Amino acid sequence: MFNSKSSSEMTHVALNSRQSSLVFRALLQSLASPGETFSLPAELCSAVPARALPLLALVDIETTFCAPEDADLELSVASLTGSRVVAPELAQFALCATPPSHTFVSRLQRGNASQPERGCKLIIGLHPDVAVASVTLSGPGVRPGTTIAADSQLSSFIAARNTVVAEPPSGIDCWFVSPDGRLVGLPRTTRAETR
Amino acid sequence: MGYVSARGGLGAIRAAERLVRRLRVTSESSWLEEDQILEKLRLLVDRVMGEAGLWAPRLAAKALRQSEGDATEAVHLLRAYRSTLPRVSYSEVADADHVRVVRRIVPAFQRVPGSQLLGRSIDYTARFLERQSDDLAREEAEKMRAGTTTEVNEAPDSSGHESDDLSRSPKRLLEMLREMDLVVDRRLTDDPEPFDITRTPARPPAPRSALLSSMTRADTGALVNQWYRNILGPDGYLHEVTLGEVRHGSLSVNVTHPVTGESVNVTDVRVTEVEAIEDLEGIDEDRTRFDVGYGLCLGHNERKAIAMANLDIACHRDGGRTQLEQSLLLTTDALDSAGFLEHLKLPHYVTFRSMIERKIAVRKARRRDDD
Repeated sequence: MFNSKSSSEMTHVALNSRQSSLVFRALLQSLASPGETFSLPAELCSAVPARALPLLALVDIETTFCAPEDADLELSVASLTGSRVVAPELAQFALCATPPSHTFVSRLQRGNASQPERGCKLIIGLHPDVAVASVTLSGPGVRPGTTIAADSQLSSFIAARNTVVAEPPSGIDCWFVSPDGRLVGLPRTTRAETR
Repeated sequence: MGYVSARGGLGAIRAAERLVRRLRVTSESSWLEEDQILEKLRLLVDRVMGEAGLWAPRLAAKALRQSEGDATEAVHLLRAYRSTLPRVSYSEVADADHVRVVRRIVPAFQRVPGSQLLGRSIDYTARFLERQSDDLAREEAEKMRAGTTTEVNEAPDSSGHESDDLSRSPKRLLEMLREMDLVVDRRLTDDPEPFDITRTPARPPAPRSALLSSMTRADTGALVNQWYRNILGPDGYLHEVTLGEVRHGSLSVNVTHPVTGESVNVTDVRVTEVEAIEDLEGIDEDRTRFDVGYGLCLGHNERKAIAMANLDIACHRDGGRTQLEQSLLLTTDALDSAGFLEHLKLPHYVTFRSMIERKIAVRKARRRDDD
C-alpha cells in the first residue's frame, strides 16, 4: 500500500489484486449506471490521491496513459505499473486533475466503428464548486431524471465531450472522481444535456 | 438482431441475485472448504484453470464453489477476474523438456528412453461405482492414511537403473525418432513472437501459436467432439494416430528480476503434454516419415491434451482444405459458445414481435391472394 497521500511521495507499492478488483468493480458499476454516485474503497482514498486509483487499477505494461497536468503523479503511476506515458493522441487512459479543455478532449483517441474499444478512458478530478448548471443524463442504464450539477468548467467540458461522442460507437468514456473517492461514470452511450 | 435492455425489472433482478447468494450459503450441509475442492475435485479444478487460462488453484476452487459446480460458469468467473489483473511482467520462455514428470507413458513404444511412469491415473482402475457407506469409506481412508503412504508414492520404481533426474525428465520418443530420421522436421529456424489470444481474437488463417493457444484454452468437451468428428471421418479423414508421449508434471515459471536481472521462479504450474505421431500417407506427403502434433494444457487433463495434439497435426495436414481450422479457432471456446447460447435468455421482445408481425402480414397477403 501507499504510505502517503501526496502524489509526489507515491513510492514503489502498487495495488494488490484484491484492491485492484475493488476499484475495478466500482468503475464497472459506475459505467453501468451513469450519473449515479459510487465510492472508491475508502481505505485506499485515505492513502493515495483518489483520482489516481482508476489508473493504478487499470493500466499495466501493455497500456499507455497520460496525466499532463499531474507530472508527479504521472511519474509515480508509470513507475508503479510499468505503463508507458505517451501523448494524449496515443493514450488509452488519460487523467486530468480538473475538467479539461475542448482542445485537450479533441486530441484523445475515439476508436472507430470496428474498434470502439480504442476510445480513450478519461479520468477527471472534480472539486466541489458552485454549480451553475444542471446536466441531464439519458441513455442506457440511466435512471430517468438523473442530473449532475456542473460548474462552468464542467459545463464547458461536457460540451466538448458531446462533440467527440457524436458518432457512436466511437467516443470516449469518462469517470469523475472527487478527492474523497466519490465516483461518477459517464460512458459514451450517455446523452448529456446542459441546462 | 435487436435486443432491448432489461428495464423496469431491476427489483426482480436484484431479488434473483439475492436468492442465489442466500441459497448458496444457507443449505443444511456444512461449509464446503476450498481445501476439499482442491483435493477431492482436483481434476475439475485443473479443467477450470485450463479453460480460464489462469493458473490459480485456490481461485478456481472459489469459483467452483461460487458457481455451485457449474464448470463453465466457474471458467467465466475466473476469466473475468483475470481480465482485471494488470500485467506486471512477462515470463521467460519455459522449456517443456524441463517438466518434472509425475506421470509419463509412451503408448507407441515399449522400450522407450526413460521409464514408463504410470503415476496417478484412473486408467488402470475398474469402473465400479463404490457404494459402500460413508462410514466404511472414511474408515478405509483413515487406514490408508495411517499406514500405507509408500503404496501411493508417486516416485518411479527404485530399481536403481536410472537417476531421479533422468526418470523425472526423460528423453522423448520424438528425439529417438529424429535420430532414426523418421520424422518430418518442421521446427522453425526463426523465433516469432507467439500470438496472444487474450489480446487479439485469432481468425483463420492463423499462425500455429494461435491455434495451439486457442486449443489449450478451449472447452474440453468441445475439443474432444472436434477430435472425434475428425477421427471418424465425416470430414474426409481417417487417421492412423499413435501417442508418442503423454506427460503430466510440473513446470517452473520464471521471470527476469527487474533489478538484479536474475531469473527468478515465481510459481510452478502443472501441465499435461502430449505428442501425437501421425502416419503420413498422402500423395503429397513424405511417406517415409511420420509427423507429430503437439498438445499442452494447464493442469492434469489428458483427454484435452490428446485431442489437442491430434487436432494440431490434423489441422496442419488439412492445409485449409476444410473448415477444421475455422472450427477450432471460432467454436471451441467455452465462454464464446456458452455466452452466445445463454444470451438467448435475454429479452428478445422486439425481434420476436417483429417475427409475429411478419407472420401475420404473410398470412394476410396469402388470404388476399386466395380471395
